[in-house]
Amino acid sequence: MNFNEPQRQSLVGILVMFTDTFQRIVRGLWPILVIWLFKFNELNKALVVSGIVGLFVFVAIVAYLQYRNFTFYIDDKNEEFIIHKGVLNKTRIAIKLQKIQQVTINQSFIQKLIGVYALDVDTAGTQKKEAVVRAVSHQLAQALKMRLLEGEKNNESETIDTEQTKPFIKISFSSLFKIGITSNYLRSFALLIAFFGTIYENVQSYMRANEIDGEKFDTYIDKGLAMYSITIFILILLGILLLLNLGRTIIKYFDFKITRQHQSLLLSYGLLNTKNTIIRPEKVQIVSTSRNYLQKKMDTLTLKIRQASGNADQEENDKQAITIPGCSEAERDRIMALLFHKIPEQGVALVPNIRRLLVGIILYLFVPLVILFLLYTYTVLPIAEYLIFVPLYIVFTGLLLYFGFRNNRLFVTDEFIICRKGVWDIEHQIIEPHKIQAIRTSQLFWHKNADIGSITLYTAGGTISFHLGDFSKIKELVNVWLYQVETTPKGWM
Amino acid sequence: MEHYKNRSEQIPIFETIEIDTDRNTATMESFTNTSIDTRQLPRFEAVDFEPLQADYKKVIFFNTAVFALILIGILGAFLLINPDMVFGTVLLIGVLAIVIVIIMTLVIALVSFRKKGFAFRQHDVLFKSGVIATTITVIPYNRVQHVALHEGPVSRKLDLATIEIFTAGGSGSDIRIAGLRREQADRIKQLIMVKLIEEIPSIASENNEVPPVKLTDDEL
Repeated sequence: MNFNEPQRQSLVGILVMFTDTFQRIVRGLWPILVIWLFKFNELNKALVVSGIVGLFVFVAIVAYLQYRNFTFYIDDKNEEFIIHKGVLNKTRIAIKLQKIQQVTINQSFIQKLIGVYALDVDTAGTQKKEAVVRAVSHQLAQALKMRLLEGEKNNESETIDTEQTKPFIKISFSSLFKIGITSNYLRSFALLIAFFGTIYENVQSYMRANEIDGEKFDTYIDKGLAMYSITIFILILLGILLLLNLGRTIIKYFDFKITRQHQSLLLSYGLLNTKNTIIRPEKVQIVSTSRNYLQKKMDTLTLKIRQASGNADQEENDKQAITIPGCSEAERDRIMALLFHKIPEQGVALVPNIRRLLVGIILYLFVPLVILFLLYTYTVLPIAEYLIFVPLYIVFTGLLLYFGFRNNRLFVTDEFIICRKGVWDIEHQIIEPHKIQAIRTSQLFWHKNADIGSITLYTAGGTISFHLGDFSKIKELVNVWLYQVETTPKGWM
Repeated sequence: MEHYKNRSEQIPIFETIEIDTDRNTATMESFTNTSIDTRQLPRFEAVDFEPLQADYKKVIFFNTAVFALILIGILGAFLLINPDMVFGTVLLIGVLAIVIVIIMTLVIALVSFRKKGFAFRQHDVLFKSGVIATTITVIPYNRVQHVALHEGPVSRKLDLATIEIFTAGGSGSDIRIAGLRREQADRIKQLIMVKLIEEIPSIASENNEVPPVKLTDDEL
């Protein structure tokens, strides 16, 4: 195929641009749209309809212009991949072929429907996807990917068509099901609260706008949620929570396949949007496994892989982490063996000092209870009614603190450093010493006599911290790690 | 192991450093794999830290003075808008608050200045800081991404400079040493440069991939 002449994407790709732009507009305006929906009856129907039609036409024109103005080609002379795009602001993106690190072919739901593929081009240096061709045929995508990666001498392996090799690990539907119903309780709960919160707020502002007595509405709600129905409500809430989680997990990770490509791992997954990602063992910085009690009983866990991103922000790093849900222990070991060339074992354990537990108890149990007591004795706030919750709080927080303390360990062997932490979901973060970029030890002055202190290990994929351990032991370990980093022939990437 | 020493370095003049190109082959031949006696390793905690230049205190005084002027300016503006309060308690409280804030800032800055120290060893650079918690950051030379040298307007007058050493481990792991003699900073930069060249072949031979090393020289 000839890529030297500027060419456009597939014509049906207009549909992709259309839905993308439309989605963006709706996402930006959704609170207004919800209010309009409530007020639909009062609005001038003709105006609404013409408005919607106008919006459609506008988006369609934008989509068409996006399609018209988007051309891409390879400049052989300068060894560059060049994209021209933009409706109002014209942009020209030029990427040196040898700087291209990764080319992945993805498919969103819309793209799947109309049979086109997106091509993402990653370069060294920036963390953002630098160039995206959004709608090309599969054949063209494959050919372009091959052509783009020719510039990278070290990685001929990437050009092999992946679909012919057999998957190395396949995550079955039942594994996804197990993970789906047992993970992320906290996050889905927060999502649910946020969701109901916004709805409640919107309804209220609508009511206010329509001069319905807000107080009446509140008391109505209070009555509706009498004691017995609260239980039912919570049960329903939990049910929705489980279903939501399950649905999200399955849609996101459906048909999860891991294929081996020489030394790299190629992941592809997704029900509506198919995603492809490549993991290169030499780029991997932190591997973490996470599972809770239920998942342990069902022999399933979630693997997270953090690659060198060149990104300082820990949160950004978390977002970029590659997740492999629903691995069994055997599958985890196979992936570990491939990434590390051996299976990490826990070695000597470092235990946090008991003060860590005590500080937690003082901060989260003692101080709040003292404040509550003071408020109870010196103010007229109606605290007495809520005092039944106090033992509940003590037990719950106490358990959280205790398990958090008990699970916190730092395991060290010659080849691996493993940090275990978590209360319910227990996470093991695994790094190899030669991936360390910098080490920071820290000691509060009143911990000097007790000989306890903290350590943070920085890698290009995030940090690992361990607090209030035996400081002499930590210092000894730091010396070993420095020795390992400074004499190793292995690079961190 | 016997070959691994990590003594503090005299920060040398560039010309005197000899790059030991045979280093890799030498270590290959003497490669052993016996278990490490961790107590025999060089101890990072036993390093003598070099303090910052005393002149840097002047920079601290200057910065505090600027900060004080800003606070006084705010108070003055407030009094201009409310002229009837000029002789009231507001003025007294304001002045008192400014004095306390300035003294606190100055004391903390001076203590933190005294607590700071750096050390260059054969294979890594160490930086110590912190008033309440003593923090020591260690960056091995073979993990350094780039080095930058800064000179602020005040520092330049005092012949001071700042060295920043970056790794791929994110902003939390970077070392920033302010209050160095300009000439000293230059030599440190050269030292790290030489160390980089010295350390990198061992990586490159294994991986065919030389990590990008940039040396920037800002504000020169």
